[in-house]
Amino acid sequence: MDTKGTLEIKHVSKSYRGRENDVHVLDDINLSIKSGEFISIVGLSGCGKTTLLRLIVGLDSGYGGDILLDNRKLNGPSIDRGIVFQDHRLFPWLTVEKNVALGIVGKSEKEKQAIVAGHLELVGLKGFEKSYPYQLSGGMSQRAAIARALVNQPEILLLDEPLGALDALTRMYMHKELERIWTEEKITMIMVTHDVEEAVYLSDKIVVMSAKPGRLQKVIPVPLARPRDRASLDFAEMKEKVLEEFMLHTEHHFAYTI
Amino acid sequence: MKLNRTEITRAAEGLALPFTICIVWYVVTARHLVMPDFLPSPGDVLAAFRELLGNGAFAYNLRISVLRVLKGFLIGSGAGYLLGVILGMSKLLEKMITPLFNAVRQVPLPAWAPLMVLVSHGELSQVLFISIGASYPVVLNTFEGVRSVRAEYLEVAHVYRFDRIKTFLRIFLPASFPSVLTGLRLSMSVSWMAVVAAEIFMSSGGGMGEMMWSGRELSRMDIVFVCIITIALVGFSMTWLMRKLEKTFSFWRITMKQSR
Repeated sequence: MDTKGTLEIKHVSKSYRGRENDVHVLDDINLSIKSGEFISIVGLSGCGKTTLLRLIVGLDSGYGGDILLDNRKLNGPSIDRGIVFQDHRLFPWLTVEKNVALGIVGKSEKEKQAIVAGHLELVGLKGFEKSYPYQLSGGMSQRAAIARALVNQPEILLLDEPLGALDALTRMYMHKELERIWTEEKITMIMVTHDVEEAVYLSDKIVVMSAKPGRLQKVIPVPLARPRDRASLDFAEMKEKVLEEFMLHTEHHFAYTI
Repeated sequence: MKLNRTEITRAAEGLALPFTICIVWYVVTARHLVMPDFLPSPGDVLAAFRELLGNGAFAYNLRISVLRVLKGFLIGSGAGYLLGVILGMSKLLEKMITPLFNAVRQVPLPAWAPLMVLVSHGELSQVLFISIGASYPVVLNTFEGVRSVRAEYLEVAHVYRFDRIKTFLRIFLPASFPSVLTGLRLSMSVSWMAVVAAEIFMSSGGGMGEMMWSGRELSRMDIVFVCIITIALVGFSMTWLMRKLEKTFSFWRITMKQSR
């Protein structure tokens, strides 16, 4: 079995030095993610989900415990992990093409061109190579950001609320696209979100986190067949199950329907 | 370049006042309301301009001044850019150098003139004088531009493991470029002001300033007026050109502001 993109998070804790006492952001997080899984981390603001993601990508350091990628301990950022931020973070002074090419490491110009073209096609941005970020809509910018994150063929793609700034319809469309990209690329994806429906639609497992300090509250497997139907009863039940963790579910009273 | 309607309107709006001033000037001098020794008529000035064109003095002095400005501008803004980048990139050097820089900056430009004599009595001292004035706006704007690079972009650089050089070339350089251009524009107009002062304070080897000063000594106010008008027009054109450049190179910044 392929083990590329296997992530082991063992007893990870993280605190920031505060003015009076240290702020505990993450407390004893244990999680193992299999190769090719789609994981969503759901939680309220301040539960440390973004911090966890930043630790995995290597933007933050100085934590307790271990994070192992394919049984190797992480050491700073590397091209085996790609990240898509909530704000697309494309460089406004570069065209889409150049933005996507930016991250490619150790390839000839010709190879670079081919990689960029391939990835722009993958994310559905063919024909926008020469556009500047300000000429793109929010959804298109995020597609470009996804392409940029994928060019080095990372084993894991980290998504930090990637669709949070998009309108509801574009977001649903992007869910489909993201699922397609995930199926085509066959890589592990970890997405931080606070949209429960998004999590249910995309994930193999949903990790629910609680705040202050950030703890792993529950891991909920989503055994629904893909592509998923938002209108189905199973989907709704799954959603309820996740919302229960936040005390947000509605009580269903017994009733007859004809 | 095709002028559109708004550009024509804008030009007309901008020209209305100078045109009025010219008419008032003409009327005042034609009716001898002011002594001609103090205020020559537009006709006199035009005649002096023809005379200076005819004997080659105009072209000669203008060329010298423009070249001098370019030298001073290039040296001053080049040094200013380097200093701005250094101060912007290093917090330590900023703390060490900024107080001194701010103190030095308080010295009015003409106050440097006596010191320049120590360097040389000719071209070099004038060029150096200009470059002092030219450097300040570039230092300040480059520093501002480098410092205001968004931390989010630097995180992207970190994720893709850019080294220092790549981070500078791919992020700091382009991100600060519009701001640097603003500095260059201001620097250009300071340089042009400084060249006239330099040529008056350290007169040697010709130039617009020197021609103006000798016009004054000869009580040729018409020549002085030719010089003043030329200086104003050349300075205006240079700044206009720089503004065009600024707009061209910061298209992404302008549109980004609009979309927010």
